[in-house]
Amino acid sequence: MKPAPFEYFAPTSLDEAVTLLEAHGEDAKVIAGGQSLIPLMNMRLATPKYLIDINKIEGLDQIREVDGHLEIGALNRHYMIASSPLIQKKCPLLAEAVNHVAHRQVRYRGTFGGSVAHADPAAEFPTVVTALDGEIKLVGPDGERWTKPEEFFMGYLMTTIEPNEILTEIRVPVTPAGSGFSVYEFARKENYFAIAGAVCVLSAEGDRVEQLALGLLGVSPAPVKPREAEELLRGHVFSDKRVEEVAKSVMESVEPDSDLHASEAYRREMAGVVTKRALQAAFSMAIKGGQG
Amino acid sequence: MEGRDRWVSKSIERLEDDRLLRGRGQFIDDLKPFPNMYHAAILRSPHAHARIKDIDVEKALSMPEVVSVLTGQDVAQLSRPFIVTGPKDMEYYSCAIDKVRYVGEPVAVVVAKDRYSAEDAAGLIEVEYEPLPAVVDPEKALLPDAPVLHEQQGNNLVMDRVYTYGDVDGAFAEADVVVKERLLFPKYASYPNETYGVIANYEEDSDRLTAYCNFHGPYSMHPVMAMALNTPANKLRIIVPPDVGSSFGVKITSYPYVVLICLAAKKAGVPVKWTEDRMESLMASSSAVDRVAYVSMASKKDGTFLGLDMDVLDNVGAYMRAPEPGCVLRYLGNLTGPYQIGAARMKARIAVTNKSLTGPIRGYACQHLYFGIERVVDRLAKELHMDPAEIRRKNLIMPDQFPYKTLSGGVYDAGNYPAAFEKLLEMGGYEALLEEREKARKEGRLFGIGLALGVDPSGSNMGYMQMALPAKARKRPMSGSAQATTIQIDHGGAVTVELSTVCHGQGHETVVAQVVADELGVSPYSINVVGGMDTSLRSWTISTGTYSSRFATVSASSAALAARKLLEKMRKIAAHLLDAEPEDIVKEKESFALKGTEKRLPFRAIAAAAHWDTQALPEGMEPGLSATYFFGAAPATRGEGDQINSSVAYGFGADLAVVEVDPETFQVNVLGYYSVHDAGTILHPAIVETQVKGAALHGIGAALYEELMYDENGQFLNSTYADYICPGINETPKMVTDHVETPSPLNVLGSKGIGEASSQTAPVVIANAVEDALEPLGMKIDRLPLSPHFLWSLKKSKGA
Amino acid sequence: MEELGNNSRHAIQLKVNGINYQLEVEARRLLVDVLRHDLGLTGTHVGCEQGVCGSCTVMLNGQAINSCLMFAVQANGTEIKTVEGLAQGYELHPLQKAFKQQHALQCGFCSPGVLLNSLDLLQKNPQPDEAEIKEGLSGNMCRCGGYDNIVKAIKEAASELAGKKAE
Repeated sequence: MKPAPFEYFAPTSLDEAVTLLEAHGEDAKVIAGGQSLIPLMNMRLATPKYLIDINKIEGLDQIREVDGHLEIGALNRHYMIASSPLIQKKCPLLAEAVNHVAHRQVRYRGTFGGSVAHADPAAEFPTVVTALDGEIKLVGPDGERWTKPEEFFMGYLMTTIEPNEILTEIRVPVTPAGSGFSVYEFARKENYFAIAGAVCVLSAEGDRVEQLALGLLGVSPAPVKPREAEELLRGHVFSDKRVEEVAKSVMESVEPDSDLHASEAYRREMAGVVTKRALQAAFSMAIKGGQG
Repeated sequence: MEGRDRWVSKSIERLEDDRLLRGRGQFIDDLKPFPNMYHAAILRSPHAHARIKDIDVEKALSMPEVVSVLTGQDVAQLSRPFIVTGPKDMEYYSCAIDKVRYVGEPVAVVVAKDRYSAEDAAGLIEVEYEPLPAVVDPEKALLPDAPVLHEQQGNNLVMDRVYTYGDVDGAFAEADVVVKERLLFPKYASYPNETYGVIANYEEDSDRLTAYCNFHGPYSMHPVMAMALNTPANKLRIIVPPDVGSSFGVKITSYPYVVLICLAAKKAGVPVKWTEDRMESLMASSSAVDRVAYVSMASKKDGTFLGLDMDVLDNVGAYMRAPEPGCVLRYLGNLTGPYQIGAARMKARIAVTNKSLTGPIRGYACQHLYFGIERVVDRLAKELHMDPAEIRRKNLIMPDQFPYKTLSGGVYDAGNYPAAFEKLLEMGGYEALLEEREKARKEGRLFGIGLALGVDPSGSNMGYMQMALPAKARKRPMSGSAQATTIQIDHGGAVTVELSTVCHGQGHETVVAQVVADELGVSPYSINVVGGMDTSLRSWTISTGTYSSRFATVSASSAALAARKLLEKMRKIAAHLLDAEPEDIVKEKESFALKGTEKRLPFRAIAAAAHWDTQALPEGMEPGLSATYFFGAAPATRGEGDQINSSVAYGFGADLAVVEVDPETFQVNVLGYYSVHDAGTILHPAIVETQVKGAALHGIGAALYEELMYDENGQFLNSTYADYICPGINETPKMVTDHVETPSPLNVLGSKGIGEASSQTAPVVIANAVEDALEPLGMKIDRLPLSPHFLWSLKKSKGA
Repeated sequence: MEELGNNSRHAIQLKVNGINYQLEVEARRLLVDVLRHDLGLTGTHVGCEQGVCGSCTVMLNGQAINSCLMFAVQANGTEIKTVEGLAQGYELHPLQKAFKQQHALQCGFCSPGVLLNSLDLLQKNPQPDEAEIKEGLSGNMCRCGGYDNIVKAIKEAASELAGKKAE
């Protein structure tokens, strides 16, 4: 399994990269970590004629807190997300998500921006960004634009990123201190492609849920933020009954696929199961005052 | 040999490890045996079933990096179909000729400067296919309107035989209880980390083909390859490097690719290297059969087994490829497992369908057999309200019955099944587990215990192949299981051992060194053990190699016997030099002494005499100290009628699994896996322990994760490790193993094979445990793998 | 049939096991292939070309990565350690010694990848517990003997390395 031939470029500036993308259009592909792209290229399922390697571009790996948000550069490797003290403190769900991403070797190379741009609905980062109502920055020949996850993620491996654009940064809101969070995934094998997963961050006042962000992965063509389901719990007392209702609502709002590992019906039911388990774990953490 | 300072049965540090840990191993893809090697890529069929109307290789040939392209037409001209025991009207070549019959079947081979360009060129070959309807289910393949794979054959049934032992109908008629189950076993494989590799070179002047590869036997495939290549067998030189990255049987069927790449080299006129990639391996290397089986057990109401009746239908894929139909023959001798059963019958049918081809994998066919037997034993226990341990205990062959002749001609050499079983139950804490299950059920948890017992056959008898045909159709008798070892003692007394076992991870260099060290009284680390294989240089015969766990059963003893041959010669030399009779010479640790005197000669002095002073040798004795011993295992006898001792020796395995099933996701968590084995004398405890654990993990893979899946149209669905799931470190349960050692009387070491062990019983023990766990839900398990989705669907359909 | 793109060739520099190499490679050559075939360092193995089995794991700039998921051209200017660089001359690295003593290998095909990943694990977490070791090795497949002895070997190497540090 060897890749098809291509011309390789390693631009050192965003401008240069964008110019190259403009010039080569649909025949070009951006490579960052390559942990999702290279397997596809090795199988010749992806055969870009021009590969634009953005790893040498400076200034795309910042992690900053600005105005109640974290601005995270696209070239942050997964392990950097996990080990960043700022992210651990201010957006712990993101750091936790890394623990579920593939394995050690992949986490050293794979990037946050790359994972979001790749848009695998069973991946963790696209769903976390969606759940948190984050914002995605794209840079093209006409400058930069910001977009929201529900506009960005179109379907399986499909986004609204133009052929001449590069994803450079993602903004997520800072998580209130003392929040509980959880990533609950169900896969055939540890950290394998999830059959269903839920990500959740919530803050509680006593046993009343104040803020809640929920996201589902692996159960729809794109990451799911089940707003109606969130409404059922936000502002209410946490109870098993409530959680059941949330799970039921989630099950109704997803559009799962059937594949080798699971039928549509099974995925739908699992969407409910992972939601319940994620909520319970997040709530337990919240009432203890957040992560230990 | 004195009992002190024995090396065998100690877990010494392995001779192989240094080079492997330093990255200095020599695996096939590491080799550059020819300076001007070119590289091959195989174009494979995207269709499950189609006629090849045309192949246009012009564009591929126009690439400057490309040397040649081999197509099916070339293969039809240059080679003959592979021999297989059975179907006369089925032609299997190493490449598709006018038709493709499975996704992944080779269609052409490009030879180019490097693998990358070769794949580019393969993508430029234009093949015109006329797709045909496909069939993948073996039962559907036998329906009158099924698509026929081999027109000359006329239908898809390539074997249909009944093996009857004893009065089966009578046994069933007199039974108090009969249980019958329809059971399905999935198509899966125990893939090794290293894939197939071949480096072939053709020398036109001498008409000699040399193929480096990682084919490890049985070398009965050597004549099969030579005949296919139209090459005299002595002109087909197979060389295997000393390091092979495991196989678990899968590399046994690399031989068609050896032929294919030899043909590519012949046509190209240059040495050609091909390394299989992972997609090719999953798509088109080898796997076990998928099986539909109807299994019945007749018993008295006290649980005494009276008869076993099996109707099995095996799917060998698009062609029956040797060594199939081993899928129904390998276990003939141990057809009734560890139990005393008065009558047994197996109706064995084999179908071809548009799936990839099958062959031996770890456990080869025994996992299919024991899935049948141990499932109906559990079913019977339920019917009779007997404890599953009790019903098994009741029917075991007893220690005083050995050697035990089975109904089907097997001869179990040694064993103490009840002792091993009791050891298992104690080790696993069976009684405590029963209590724990009670408690768990009260809490609404799905907790289950499973048991499985199996006879572990080792050292396949070449004669079993004949059993594919009815007795009158067998043309010539076949029998045997032999292995040679050559030992040389040089002029200074240093020892070199030449193997032809073709080791692939089992530590043969180490164990043979231990064996020879014990015999000769030297340190194993002083011995130069030469692994690998070379059909032009090593001593070998058609049963040579490592497969069916035969190293401990046959090969290790050939090393001991070669050493003894040399000792005999040295004794004679010592006697001659000391002016005495050989009977009066005693071997001490490092010398030969004349009994009752102070006269002795050091080992080194004898060796020196044999080389430096040949005049000193007895009259008529050959100079030098070199011996080859071909150990032929006596039990590998010819079959009689349908009775055959299909394996040389038989071990025993008893497994216990504890599982808990998540009541919402239906994911199975194996809480503990316990296993007790009897493989006779254990030659190296640490190696054996890792073998047992590794084998159990393969079986757990089959039980819970691994299945090669096809859609109705024969499209292969899981061609990467993303979709073909193998258990990793986090899926490996806690495993506890132990042994009972009943030495085998069949060889000088008393040892038997352990390479397959729990791969044969793990699939069914997990099935038994899961069914037990799901008892409160009343669900029955009749197939594998037990994926969460499958169990959930089962529950849903039950509730419907 | 889609037309193939052009191959671009690039001059790169790799420092592998302390030795500097100047190479010219096609952009699409995988790092593992360049290590194995251009530099003759065949200790690193290819098992899946998908980043699942871990046989190709090497250390790159101090991090254990899958060399089948990187183009050699991307590794330009980096420092790489392969299994051949573990031992100091004839002296085996504590990990290698421990693997041998604990019988943590059978066929040895996965071993170089396991060794390099373990090295990385111990450099970042010198005293990992069993759960951390298992988590750390989820990207390495061994099909021969299970993982128990590998875990034991890593623990033993961790002790020895800690002891050495104390000296």
